[in-house]
Amino acid sequence: MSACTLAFTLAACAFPAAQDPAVPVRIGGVEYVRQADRASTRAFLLDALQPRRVVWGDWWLLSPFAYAGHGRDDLKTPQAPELELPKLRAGGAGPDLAASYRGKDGFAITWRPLGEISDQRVELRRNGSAALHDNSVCYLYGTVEASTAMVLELVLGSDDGLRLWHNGRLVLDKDVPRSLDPDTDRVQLVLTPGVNHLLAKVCNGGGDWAFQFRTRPQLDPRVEAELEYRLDLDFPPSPERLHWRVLTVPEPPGSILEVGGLDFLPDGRPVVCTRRGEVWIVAGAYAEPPVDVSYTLFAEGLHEPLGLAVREERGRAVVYSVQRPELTRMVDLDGDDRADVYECVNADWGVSGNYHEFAFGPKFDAEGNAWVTLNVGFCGSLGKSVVHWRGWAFKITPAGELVPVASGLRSPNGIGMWHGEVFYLDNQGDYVGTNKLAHLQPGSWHGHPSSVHWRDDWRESAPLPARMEPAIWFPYGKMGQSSADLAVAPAGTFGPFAGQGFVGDQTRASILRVNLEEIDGVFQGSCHPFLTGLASGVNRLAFAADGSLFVGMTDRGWGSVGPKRQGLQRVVYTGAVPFELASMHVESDGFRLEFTQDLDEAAAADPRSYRMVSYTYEWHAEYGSPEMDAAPHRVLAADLAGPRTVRLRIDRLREGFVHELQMPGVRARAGGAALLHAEAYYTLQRVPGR
Amino acid sequence: MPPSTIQPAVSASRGAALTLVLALASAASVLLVAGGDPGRTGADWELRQFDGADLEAGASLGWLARPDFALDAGQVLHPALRADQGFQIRGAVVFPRAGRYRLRHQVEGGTLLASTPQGWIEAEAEQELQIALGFTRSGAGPARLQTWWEMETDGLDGFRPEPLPAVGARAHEMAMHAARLMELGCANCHAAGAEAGAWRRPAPYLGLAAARLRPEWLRAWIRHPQQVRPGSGMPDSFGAGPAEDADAEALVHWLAATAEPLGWTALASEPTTIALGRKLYHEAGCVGCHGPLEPAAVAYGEPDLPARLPADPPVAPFQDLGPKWWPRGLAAFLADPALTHPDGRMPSLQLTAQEAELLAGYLLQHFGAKAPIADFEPDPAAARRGREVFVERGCESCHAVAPGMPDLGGAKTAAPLTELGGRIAAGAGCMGEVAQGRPHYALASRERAGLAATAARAQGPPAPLAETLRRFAYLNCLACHAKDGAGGLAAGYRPYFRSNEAADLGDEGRLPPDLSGAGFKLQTGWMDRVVREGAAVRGALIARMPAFGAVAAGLAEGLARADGVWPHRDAPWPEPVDARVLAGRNLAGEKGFACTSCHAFGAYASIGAPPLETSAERLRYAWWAVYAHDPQRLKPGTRMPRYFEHGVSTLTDVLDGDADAQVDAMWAWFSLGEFMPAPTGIPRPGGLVLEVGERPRVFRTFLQDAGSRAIAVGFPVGTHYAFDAQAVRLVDAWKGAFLDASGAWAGRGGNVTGGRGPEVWRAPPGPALLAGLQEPPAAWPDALAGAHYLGYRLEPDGTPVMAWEFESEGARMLVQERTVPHPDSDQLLLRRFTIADLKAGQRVWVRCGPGTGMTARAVENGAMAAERTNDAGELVRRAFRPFAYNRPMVLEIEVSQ
Repeated sequence: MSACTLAFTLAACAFPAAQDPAVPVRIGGVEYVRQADRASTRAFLLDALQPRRVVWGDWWLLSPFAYAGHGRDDLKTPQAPELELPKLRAGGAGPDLAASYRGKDGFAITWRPLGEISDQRVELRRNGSAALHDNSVCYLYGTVEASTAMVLELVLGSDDGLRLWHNGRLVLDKDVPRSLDPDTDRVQLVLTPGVNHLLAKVCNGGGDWAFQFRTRPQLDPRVEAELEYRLDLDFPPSPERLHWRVLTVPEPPGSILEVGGLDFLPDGRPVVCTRRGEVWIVAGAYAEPPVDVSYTLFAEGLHEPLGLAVREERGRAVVYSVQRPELTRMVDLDGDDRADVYECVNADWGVSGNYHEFAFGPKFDAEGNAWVTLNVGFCGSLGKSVVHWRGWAFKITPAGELVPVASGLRSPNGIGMWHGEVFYLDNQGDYVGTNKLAHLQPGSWHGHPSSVHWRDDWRESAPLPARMEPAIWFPYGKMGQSSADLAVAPAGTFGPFAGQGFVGDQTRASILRVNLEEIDGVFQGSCHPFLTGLASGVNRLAFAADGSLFVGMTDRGWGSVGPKRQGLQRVVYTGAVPFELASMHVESDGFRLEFTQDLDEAAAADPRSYRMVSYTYEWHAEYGSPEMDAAPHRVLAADLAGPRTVRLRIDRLREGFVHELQMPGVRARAGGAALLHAEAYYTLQRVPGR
Repeated sequence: MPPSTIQPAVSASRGAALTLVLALASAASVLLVAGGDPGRTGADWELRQFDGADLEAGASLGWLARPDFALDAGQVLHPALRADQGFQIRGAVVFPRAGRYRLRHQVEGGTLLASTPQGWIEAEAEQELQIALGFTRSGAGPARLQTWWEMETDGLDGFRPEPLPAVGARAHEMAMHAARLMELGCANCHAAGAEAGAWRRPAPYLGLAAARLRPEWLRAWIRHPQQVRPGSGMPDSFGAGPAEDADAEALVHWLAATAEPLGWTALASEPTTIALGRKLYHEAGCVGCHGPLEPAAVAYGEPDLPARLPADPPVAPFQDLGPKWWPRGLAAFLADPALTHPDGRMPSLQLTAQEAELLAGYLLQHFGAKAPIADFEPDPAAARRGREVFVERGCESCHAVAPGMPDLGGAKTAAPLTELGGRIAAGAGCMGEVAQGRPHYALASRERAGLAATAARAQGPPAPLAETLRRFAYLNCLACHAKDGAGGLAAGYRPYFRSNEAADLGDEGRLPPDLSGAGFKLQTGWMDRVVREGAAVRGALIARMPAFGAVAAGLAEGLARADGVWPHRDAPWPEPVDARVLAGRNLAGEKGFACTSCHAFGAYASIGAPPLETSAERLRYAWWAVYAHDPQRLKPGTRMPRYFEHGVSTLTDVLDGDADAQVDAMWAWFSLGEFMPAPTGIPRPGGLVLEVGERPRVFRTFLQDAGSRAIAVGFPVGTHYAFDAQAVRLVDAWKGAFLDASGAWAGRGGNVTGGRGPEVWRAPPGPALLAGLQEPPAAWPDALAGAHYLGYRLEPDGTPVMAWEFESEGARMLVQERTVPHPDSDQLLLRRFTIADLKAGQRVWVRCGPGTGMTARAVENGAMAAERTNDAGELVRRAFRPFAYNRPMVLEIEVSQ
């Protein structure tokens, strides 16, 4: 498929062109052939891409023997296992793997199985005393089987020195101190038909001790991305993927795309900044699959930028990013897609050097103010605001002035605009019972006490200010474990969820959906599961002009359930409407539920199709909070108010509580399908009319 | 209470006596429902007599934390039971929310008669199920019961089978009374049947203690201990009158004669050492039992913390230590408390000799160190009389002079403990309102009921479970650790418990762990090392696990038995075949679950979670096989993510995504212990070396000397410099390796970036130049007024030019500073300052020295206007020519090595 550019209509890219089954798909030059399941389809293609003419057997390790140290030519001193070399030369069986040897310091040692070690670094340093590893030497034995006589080029490396015998004959001798590079040594082995014996001897002076050989080059990331795309089409990893396709944008070669910020140039190309301080412009990201991606390094050397925004200023696209120490404005003066000026717009906040003093932003409001949030530092696991504006949200005006807005933030990884109002996301911990989305009302205080002393009105003995309650609690574990970023789907995009909010979760590598409403001047709303199984911890979300959602990921230092450590993905609506609870609105006696498809009326009107329980969170210095004061609710009635609308009447509504709704009985009229996600969580701060 | 809509899910019962009560939990009984919502049992489990038929009858024998036990042949659950006698356990299970639940019992060595149904139990909301378990032992052999529950998975909800959580507040309360009876040393005189040994409390070795204590304090203590410390385990032993005074005094002389006093040698008391002792006291864990002595803000020197002491009373409050201890005596006591106090109540915090001195120095300073007094010379005649008093008064019932000292024949025996209940309750005897003969304890009357009931129970064969909880209470384990819903650190003490700076594990990384189910979780051998030797793997915690020594022997076994598992015996391990081990290693690696993101491995400390290679040494496989599937359930609030959802792994390409197979593979890998192959993804030093390519490289980071707004600039020729954007000045230059970004890029990053080649130049302190002054300042300033960093631009070849501003006579002055390696190889750097806004007549002053050869040169229109080479002086003293035209002045400074 040809790359789709923004020069022509983006909508055409939302759906892959129907694949003509008669035209074979080729990936990396070989034909993709669907097999019974995902794993065998993948294996089939890999074997075609990188055929192996030999069969590698298992490996064994015998360690340690004494080594006199570097510079003493001691690698050639034969140890007992080398007595078996004549046997190998004679074409006999392998060494006696059951034999026991007297190793270093008189220890009795035996061959230990390593399994298949091709293309993996083998650590020879085990967790034991240094005496067993420093100034030691070991043997590795393995086999390779060839069907005919052939020449095999073996690429390998070791830390430190290496001797290698093929069928008992020495083919490599490097007595050198070095660190492991698996591409250092190349030997050509003339394999005899049948089993060939390989014996390696690796010495170690001190430090790391390792061995590695290559049998298969690494898959090109573009080939990998194309293969995964094709496998996703044939074998959707989850029912969610029937409605939302996830495309992996390959990382720039040789770089680590730990996404800290994400926005778009006016021409639609994504701009991505990374935790390693690089800013990349991505071309070709809209193709399906995006295999012809090219990256331009717009800027580098930034100090852990965790947000990025593109602004058009006097006809020129300007990139803003919050680094740890400052808000920086980057301008490309000569049009070569590389920044020439790194202007410090504002640096009026403190940076003590604490690792946890992350800085997030900017997001721009309609007046052109750049919004920024700052983490508190961590001192002994408790958040501390030891320097100015730590734990605050503030805006930087177009004139470059810092205007403090709200305090009491803890770990505010994400700012989002909801129809003109500014919200932020916080991560659970001390004084944050669970992850939350909260409204950045001017002067508000969000509960973490460490930052309150930067307020003008703060007095040492004064009581803490009134606490701003969150608009949405994300119940811990049920709705993610570390929320990040808020993006709102533009009108007319993303199928049934146009205008709704999306929040990333780093630990779970997932995306949640949120809806807000304003009741008596207070924002509150619901959160819903949306999409799981992204490649890594979701850190940034941004909607492109075509309505697809770009997902920037990284989980370094925190971990995620995703299989990758970082990357960029794109979520595209397939056009197949999922059966979902579209939105949930509070009413004076219950909730109004809007679904995405017509309902099976009998099931939808049956109160037993629903279950509700409510709970809240404790505000305290402990890390997080259990769900407190949990109590079940009774669903008194479920009234159909339209083909897709149900009004639930509940026995009572509890202000300040999360109302967890389960909908096990709800069915679609068409086909009686169950909901894709049968749960939702409404954070109730105000009951209308109360 | 709301109207009940709950129907009994099961109404049939097999035996006539079987009943099932299913009721809504009342709102008042809703306890904590933790974040992971593991559910809970409703109340403590009551142990009753059981005649083998009637589950309703039977006298109550007390409380258990859970319906679990493991008893060896001949062991009993309660002293009133025979080894072959059955018993009954009653309690309630609370199903936390609607769903289908099932209870299962593992039974060995007996038959179980259970009131619970065999199959699934339907709950339509949170509800409580009363259950009764009758256990009939088959003979006096080993017997075991462990109760498990599960909730059926319906796609979203549900949990796999796991041991029923424990709630044991009443069981622990009962144990507290027993521990108090031990503390008072009742069984030291009063016979306590077969269990006597377990109830006895060895009091301090008097001779050894005397060497450490001040004689004037000993005198007051011996004479009237219940006045010095009301309720103390040391009873008053002397009545009124001169003869009694003389006997008490004689005892002081004898004790003083038994040991050479450590005497008065002052400990270091300068403010810095006191501060170290203060910090050590408050962070090491002393606070758990003794409470904080100072507000956390003072102890940690953190003024933003509230400067007040928490109100929570400590379980072991200090008396005034000042008059009690010789300074070296207190240090010696802290270093090894068991040497003089064999009851083991004060554990060893594994202090070094230096730490013990710091701690003693701080404590004595805090309580007001007393001045040295004249040496106390014991009178030989009085000392001889003292030895007789020691025997006559029965001191030897509790005290030995020193370990292994000969029996002086002074131990007393009195009425059996079990007969004391009535006397205690009636306020008679040693614990009466008034001293009726000696000894006498001044006890609060409210203490008596619990003690009386406990005394009555102190008979019969040893009951290992009861003894375990008693020992647990006696050693004050609950002061720091929660267990079964009881105990745990007082809220006000928690801020004193800290993590190491490098750790980030939330409360898991700073607070002592909850010990509910610890017997099921931990290998008994490891648990034994923890309680006896203070072994610990929680590297993040600053507080120390104390070493309780011999007195904690058997505690680990007892905790296992109380959780219904055999000590030292685990479920069969998955065999560590190669394929499993390697799969386990891959699962743990960076392409798998990236375990080393949090966990230590070998020398790599990560962020403080326990080292992976010790897993199989510490943990039971039986626990892991439950825990791994959903960590939040067994350990609510843990940071450990959930990698398996209802039996399916998030990693589908290993072992077909089979969660059980993956859990077993990881265990197989754990089981190799120190020979585990290392997982991938452990950052290695030197792994993130920043190379400078063909263009200069700018890298913003934290640097040691250039601060938290540093800008490092590397050049292809291998000369690099650091600019401090806060102080707005060039700081230093180095050659060779540019930087290793590990500090910024490994793990969570945010650390100082190192790995630089050798430093070759360091700028003199303060700004490089001043402008506007007619004469040089008397002292070079630390900073330029109003200096701000403004950013940098890159020249076409990538060379950065820093822009900054400062104030001069109220006007803003803009500077562009360009620093590059000097084109002449024998020079180091060429710095070029372009100063706009300089007015006519203003002079520029440059600081060149000392100790570094620098030449400054002003350039006007490309021609040199002034030059000065600094060889010794601090300043270039000559002003440059005033600049009378509206163009920037360009100043070049050459830096040589």
